[in-house]
Amino acid sequence: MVKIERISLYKEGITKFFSPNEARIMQLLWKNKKMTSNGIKKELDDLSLACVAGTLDRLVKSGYANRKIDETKNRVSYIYSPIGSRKTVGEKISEKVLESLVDTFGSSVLDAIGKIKKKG
Amino acid sequence: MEAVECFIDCIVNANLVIPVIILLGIAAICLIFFIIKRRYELLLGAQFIMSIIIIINLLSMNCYMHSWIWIYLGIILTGSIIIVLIKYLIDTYINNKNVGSISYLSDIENEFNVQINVIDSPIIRAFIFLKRIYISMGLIERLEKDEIKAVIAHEVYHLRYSPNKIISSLLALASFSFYRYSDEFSAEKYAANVTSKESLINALKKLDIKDSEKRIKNLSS
Ligand SMILES: [Zn+2]
Repeated sequence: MVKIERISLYKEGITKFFSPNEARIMQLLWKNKKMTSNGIKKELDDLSLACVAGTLDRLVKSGYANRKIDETKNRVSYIYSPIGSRKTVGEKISEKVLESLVDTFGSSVLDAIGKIKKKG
Repeated sequence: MEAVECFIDCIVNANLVIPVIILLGIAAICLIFFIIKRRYELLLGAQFIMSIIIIINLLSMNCYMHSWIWIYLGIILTGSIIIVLIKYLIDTYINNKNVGSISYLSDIENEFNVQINVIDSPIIRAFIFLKRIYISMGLIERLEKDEIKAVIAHEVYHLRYSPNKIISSLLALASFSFYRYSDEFSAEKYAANVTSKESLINALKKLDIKDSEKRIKNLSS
């Protein structure tokens, strides 16, 4: 989960940085802001509730999601929300990756970014 | 009479007076509790007395076997330290994750007259510790209220009627019986009686814990 050694550049979208299940859950959290594990399970029909709960627990422990206990009259459940938008998480990951690149290649990284900016 | 004198001589000469008094004292306490309370854990007390009788036999047969009594005390002491240490570790773990009680559960608390504490974790657990019932968020999230009530009833049985786990482990250790007392089936029957069989079976099915099928079968028979 966004550990430099786990990044797989050949993969699609944010699965470069998250496992496929983590990625699917993060997308849902970004989209809906607040969700219960049951709500997530309903959207991800192919996953078991235990798998969803376990993945959410990992996301909470690694600082990408938050959970709090929500109490209504006839149900108590965890409400999960993302920590940071897709944009801020993107910044966090980019910073991590760039730091490691600068560590290896120094100023050439900045030259490369300049080139990309011109192209874009 | 000569045998008794010889025996007393032997323990005095071997400096075993204090350990023998300690052992006999513990055995007496076990026996008294067993007579008063008649709980299963105290049956192990009787086994404890048995093991002391064995040791006394060893001593009276041959005083040079007295090192056995020290080995025995050593094993009990090490075992007790380990058991207390495990208890301490569990205690700190629970305190770290305990979120206190939730008002959603207060009806159930009142009905059974117990205190229910909630463990802040998505894992599925329910257990008793120091006269309180602990139940995890993972379990609460998955069950309806009547099913939670069935799970709590199961734990209430343990709280009221099951032998204390730490005392049982200590006695099992001391008597070398290593007997693990299990009254899961009685707890299940109790829960089904005070709540409903359907709720309990539904809870067991939803939680997908090991042996759940066997437990459901037991209830249905
Ligand atoms: Zn039980």
